[in-house]
Amino acid sequence: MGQLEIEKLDETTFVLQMGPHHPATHGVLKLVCEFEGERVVKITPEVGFLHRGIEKLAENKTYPAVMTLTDRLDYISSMTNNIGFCLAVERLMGIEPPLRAKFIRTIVAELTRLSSHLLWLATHALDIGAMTMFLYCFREREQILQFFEKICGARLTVSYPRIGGVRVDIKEEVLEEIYRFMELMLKRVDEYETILTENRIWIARTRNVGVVTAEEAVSMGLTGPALRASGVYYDIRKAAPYDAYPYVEFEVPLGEKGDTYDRYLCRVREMRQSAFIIRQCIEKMPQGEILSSHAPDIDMAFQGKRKIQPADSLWGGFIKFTTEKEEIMPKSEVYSAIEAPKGELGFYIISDGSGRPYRMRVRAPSFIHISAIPKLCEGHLLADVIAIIGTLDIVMGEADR
Amino acid sequence: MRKLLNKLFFIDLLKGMFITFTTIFKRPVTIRYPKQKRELEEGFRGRHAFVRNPETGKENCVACTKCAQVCPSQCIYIDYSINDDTSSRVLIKYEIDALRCIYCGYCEEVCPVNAIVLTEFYEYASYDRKSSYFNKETLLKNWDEFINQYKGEDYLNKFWYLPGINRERLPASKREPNAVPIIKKMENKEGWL
Amino acid sequence: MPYYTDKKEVVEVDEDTKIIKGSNVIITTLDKVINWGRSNSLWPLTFGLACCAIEMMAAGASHLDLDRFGILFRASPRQADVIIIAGTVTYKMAPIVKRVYDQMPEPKYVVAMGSCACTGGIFNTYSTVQGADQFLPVDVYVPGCPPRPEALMHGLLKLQKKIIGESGRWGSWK
Repeated sequence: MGQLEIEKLDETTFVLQMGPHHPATHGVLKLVCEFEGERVVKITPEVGFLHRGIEKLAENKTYPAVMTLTDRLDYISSMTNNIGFCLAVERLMGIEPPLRAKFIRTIVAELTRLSSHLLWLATHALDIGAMTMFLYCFREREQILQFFEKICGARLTVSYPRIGGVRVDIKEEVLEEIYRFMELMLKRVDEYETILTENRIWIARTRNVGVVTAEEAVSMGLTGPALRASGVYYDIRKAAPYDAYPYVEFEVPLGEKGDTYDRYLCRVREMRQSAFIIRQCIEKMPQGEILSSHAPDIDMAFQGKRKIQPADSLWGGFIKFTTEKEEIMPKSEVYSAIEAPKGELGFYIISDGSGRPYRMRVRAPSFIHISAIPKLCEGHLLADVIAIIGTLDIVMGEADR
Repeated sequence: MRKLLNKLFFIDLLKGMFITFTTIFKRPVTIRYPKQKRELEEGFRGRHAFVRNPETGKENCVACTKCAQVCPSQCIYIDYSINDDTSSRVLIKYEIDALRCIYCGYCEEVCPVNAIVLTEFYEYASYDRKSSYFNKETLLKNWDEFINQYKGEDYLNKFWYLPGINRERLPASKREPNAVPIIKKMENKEGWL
Repeated sequence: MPYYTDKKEVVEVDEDTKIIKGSNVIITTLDKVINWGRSNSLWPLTFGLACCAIEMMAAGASHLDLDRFGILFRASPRQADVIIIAGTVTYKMAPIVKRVYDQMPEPKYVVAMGSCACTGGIFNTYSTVQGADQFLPVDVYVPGCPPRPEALMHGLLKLQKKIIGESGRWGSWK
């Protein structure tokens, strides 16, 4: 080879594709990485391998049926997706759930936050190399999924909240069991901190990796723990409270530097605050109804108009014999957001007066966090790329919809 | 001084390893499937079944097609005809594609006669697709299989009567928790399916 | 040639001489030993696509241990026996699934877990393949959305039963 060609070889970078099938990319995400030696020069993510057309499907189903679709967006924390959608439709219709339903929804949302952070800790520690955390965290998570099964019958993809309240009531024994479990949970969180927080290997792997300053975080659109670890105090549960959050007291943990270690500390402290919130809610739980009287039925009609043929011997009392147009939904649009475990989950719904949404758009936090990966990974080694994907907490079901 | 000692003797690593060491002496949480099975909670949404009416021995379904209209994944196919004398509906064909179902429980919640139920049974993996395409007779057989291993006098699913919801919203047959009495050993009765 | 048959075919070789095909005592003993070895150490490929992957992880974790059955999750297709398709297969992902399946060495098995992998599930849309059996030969279908970890174990035990009933699926004259 001549001298010119050898010089040109030094300038080109080494391209490596971390393909869609990879045990560490938390789903189907393709990253085309360019390396110079072992340092990252440029990363190009490619998404769309799990695009199932949820937003298009929602245009053909009634509002209660769309709720079963929103389960499968962020499949690790499905109760919070349902609550976000229900809140958006309730704000559109102008109805409010009764007080007991608000408390039940808050308990369930915080249980979901616990289970989502436990799974995050399990997979993040597994990627970095601490394998016992996987088994410990799944042991606690199984207990939480057992509670979900007692409440509503399914473990992972529940369709428990309803527009205007919740679906069935919770018994008192189940609430007492959850209360006793929270004490055990606080002890376990202490154990997790003992294993990882002061561990010199953990600190060496996660300190100064993926540093985000406060201005960068706000301009990139990060939300949730990724934003709070950089020192920005923005939590939707405090800024625009919904459900029973005005009635409970809790703290919002903040970080200082914005690296991976701070994000880990933020999430672990959030787990403790979730346990406190659940205990307060169970102590303050009121009696009463669980579904508002203006809430739509689960078998909502597709249009406002129903035409019924009389004289079929169906058991009376569940079909209204009317030929007039019933205004079920007002014609307007709404955007509402909640604090999901991953960030800010927003729903933008346009309704044209019928029983189906004209357009439902989901603002998914994972999609926006993926666009932050190239900026965070500049100058780091290959093993740090894995740690950064883990710390941003990406779920492909949400990013691709 | 303390920090130097910590650094030399790996105190932080040893504290973590002590926790993993104490797990040796705790009882393991593993459940030895298939010899030990976990108890399912009531209301678990598993395999579909048609409730067998204890008097007539047949299904309760009146072919109102509400379940087919409310199903989000549209996996229920119903065909009926109208009896000329009594002008009531007669069910001809009722099929559920269980491999398309998402087990949301809307069909058992909306049925006005409590004919269909999602039982607490989950062991029905198969080698081909046809075994999971239930028609009317298979659904009744599912109910028999489930009842044979059910311990209790009568069966009641909480999605039939929806505890906690205002009673006036629901149709008349769903207001009270009407449990279905179970009669086992159905194969000995004559005249039943 | 059917790989999974219990009944033996009776073949007439000469006049009044009927033998049962493949019933040589060496071959049946080898069949039993090889099938016992294969069924008790299935090594699946980690192929979690969507929600069912979480229940697959829960089946491999502490409460229900898949390691008791000899099942170890391998990351590379060259070292795996069975592929558990857990989650929705889209048209963009299907060529990659096929490529990974082709890279697995024989004998290989496919388990379709959950509604989306068996048929399209609730996602009857422009971008979803309606079932993994449109392009792969599926051995066991596990229904549920998502199926419980115990239901996945039941499906894997059914696959073990199928493997034990095989005959002649070894050697170079398949």
